[in-house]
Amino acid sequence: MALIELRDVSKLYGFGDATTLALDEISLEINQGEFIAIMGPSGCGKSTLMHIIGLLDRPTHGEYLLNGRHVARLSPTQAARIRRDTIGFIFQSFNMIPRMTVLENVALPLLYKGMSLTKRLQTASNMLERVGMKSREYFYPSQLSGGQIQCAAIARALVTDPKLIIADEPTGNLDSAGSRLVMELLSEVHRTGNTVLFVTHNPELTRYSNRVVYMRDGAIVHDEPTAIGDIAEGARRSMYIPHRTEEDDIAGVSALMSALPSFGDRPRIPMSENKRSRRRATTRRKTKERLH
Amino acid sequence: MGRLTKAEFTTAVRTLRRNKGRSLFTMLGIVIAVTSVITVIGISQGVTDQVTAQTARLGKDVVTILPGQINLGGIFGGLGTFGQSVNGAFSQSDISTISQTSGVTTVLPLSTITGGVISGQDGRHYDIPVIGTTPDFPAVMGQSVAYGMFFDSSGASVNKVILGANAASTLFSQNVPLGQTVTILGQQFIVSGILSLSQIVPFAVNADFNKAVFISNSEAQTLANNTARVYEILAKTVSPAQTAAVADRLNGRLLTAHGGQHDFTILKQGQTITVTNNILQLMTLLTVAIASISLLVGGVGIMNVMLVSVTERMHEIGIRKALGATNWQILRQFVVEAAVLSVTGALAGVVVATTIELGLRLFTDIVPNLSWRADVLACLVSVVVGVIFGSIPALKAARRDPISALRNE
Ligand SMILES: Nc1ncnc2c1ncn2[C@@H]1O[C@H](COP(=O)(O)OP(=O)(O)O)[C@@H](O)[C@H]1O
Ligand SMILES: [Mg+2]
Repeated sequence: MALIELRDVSKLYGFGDATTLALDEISLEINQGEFIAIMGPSGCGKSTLMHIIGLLDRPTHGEYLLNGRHVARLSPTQAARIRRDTIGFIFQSFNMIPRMTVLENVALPLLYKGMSLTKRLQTASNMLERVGMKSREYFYPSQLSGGQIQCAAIARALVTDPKLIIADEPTGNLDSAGSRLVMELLSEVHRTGNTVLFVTHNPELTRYSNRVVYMRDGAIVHDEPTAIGDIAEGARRSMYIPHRTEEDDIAGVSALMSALPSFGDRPRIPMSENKRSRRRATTRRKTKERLH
Repeated sequence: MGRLTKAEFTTAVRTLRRNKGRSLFTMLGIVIAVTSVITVIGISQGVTDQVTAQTARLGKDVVTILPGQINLGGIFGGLGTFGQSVNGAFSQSDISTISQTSGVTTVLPLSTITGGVISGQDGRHYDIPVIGTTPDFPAVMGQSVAYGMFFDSSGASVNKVILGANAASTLFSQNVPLGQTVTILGQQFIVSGILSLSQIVPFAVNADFNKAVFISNSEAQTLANNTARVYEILAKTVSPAQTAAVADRLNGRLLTAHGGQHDFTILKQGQTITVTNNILQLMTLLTVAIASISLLVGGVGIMNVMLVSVTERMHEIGIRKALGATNWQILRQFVVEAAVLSVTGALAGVVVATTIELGLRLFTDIVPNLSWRADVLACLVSVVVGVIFGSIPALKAARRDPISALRNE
């Protein structure tokens, strides 16, 4: 049984003329122990997908099964318990609570488990040691560099020992040294048998993963298994385009998209064009029904 | 549970401290509500106690006769009696009519003459009421004499004056001014007795006996050329059981004597306090109104502050939910905060109310009755209102999806 199973999941934002189709009938299976990189240009729905998988958001249409359980049928409390015990979420913008020390931030998930204060701080401290942040325990997030905050955020995501780690552009705000550090940490988590999902714009980072999922306009356009240590085939094609700014980054990914065998001139589209447009029509009809 | 609550309590206190001004302003509503409730309950209870103590002293066998028509019906009729009872007077023949009624054992007229008193010590004039009465005064009123003696019925009562406790200290600097003299309407009187301090009933129709001086009614009439106004007559009956019957008989006889005109009022035991009771009823009504309004204002104030607090921390709520906090765990944080606010406000209200009641004791005749039950009740109600109102904004925030809360920066 797959750990994560998405069946025709769609996500719509807004209503009326301002409706955005952020996810367009996505179907995806992820097994326990996979290390998946999600790639795609900005606005293609990567974050939305991560939020839905991480139980932070709910799909508008479609089914999501986590560990074989229908997520739509979970009560808010059950969903909160799953977030607490089995999912560790890492944000691009860190999302640390600014008026709490690093240690207090990392200990927060344990508070909701009802652990005693001393045990909470002890566990959090051990976790910070594992990510090499022990010496910064009593610092406030504002006193740390981006890489250090992200390490602390990873410690917070790992402190409850979750089976599934979801990282939405964890290296997006970091320099190459920071990125390396973060990716090494995620690799280590993966080696201990956990499932890791991460979003990135950097083809270089696909070296860490064993599967790369490419997205565009809310749909999965390519899904490629890779060997750990190698840059993914699709990503490699865009390697020689230098990118320094974020725009270049996006341009790089776009170039990568067009270089994909299944995308560029579309010789082998995974789903027939006819079928896809039919599906879109279904979603639109469903949306209309929802609105009326 | 306990651990979480402790952490929540610390966070709540930290948050409220950071926004001191806002927190204090919010508490004001609760403080006003608690203060008004406790103070007014204290006053009405205190006044009731005082009235009860006084009527108990008067005895169940005493009938009070006042000039004028007093409506004892409703609250507002009762209030109207204030002015009326001062008008009108009884004549000497009324006194004899009452004393000749069967069942009446003693008649105690109370008359008043204007003009004030000149102290024999410093020769200065004091605006002190002079009351003319008879030697039965101490017995019928249940009033004890602290020093010296009340005048008696023998001719020796001539030129004797009895001082109320406060009047004695106003007129003379010495502690027990027995044997000193005062001048009333040009005639000298010798101080032959000083009354002990009697309990005063606020809002009562009677004059304050502590601040008055007493001479015999016959001398008062002589001094004032028979114009000393008899403003009240007390009639003691043979037994408490007979009081009602005697009161009816008095009513009939006075009606006949006044040619059928009902220009007097007879108060039986218990009715004496009706006037005061009506005021107390009105006060209680007002308290309930004031308390409800200030509680509502306090509740809305807390709701407002919690709304700001929740909105400010929406992003943090999102983070906490993403990390696995349940809706209830988020809600509890804010419930604790609202509770800290309202409990602190309620306690401050108790302190303010206690200070006010102390002030009333020191500077007025009112002796409020401090009751812990009123304190607890007022606190309990305002804390419940504060917590319920304070939780409404948090409830809405706690129910949001983590991601929708996280989008608020
Ligand atoms: N809260 C929102 N309201 C309206 N549109 C949104 C919202 N969040 C995301 N979107 C839209 O959904 C699409 C996908 O967004 P997102 O998942 O953030 O993309 P990515 O992470 O790949 O850059 C975008 O077109 C974005 O504008
Ligand atoms: Mg994104």
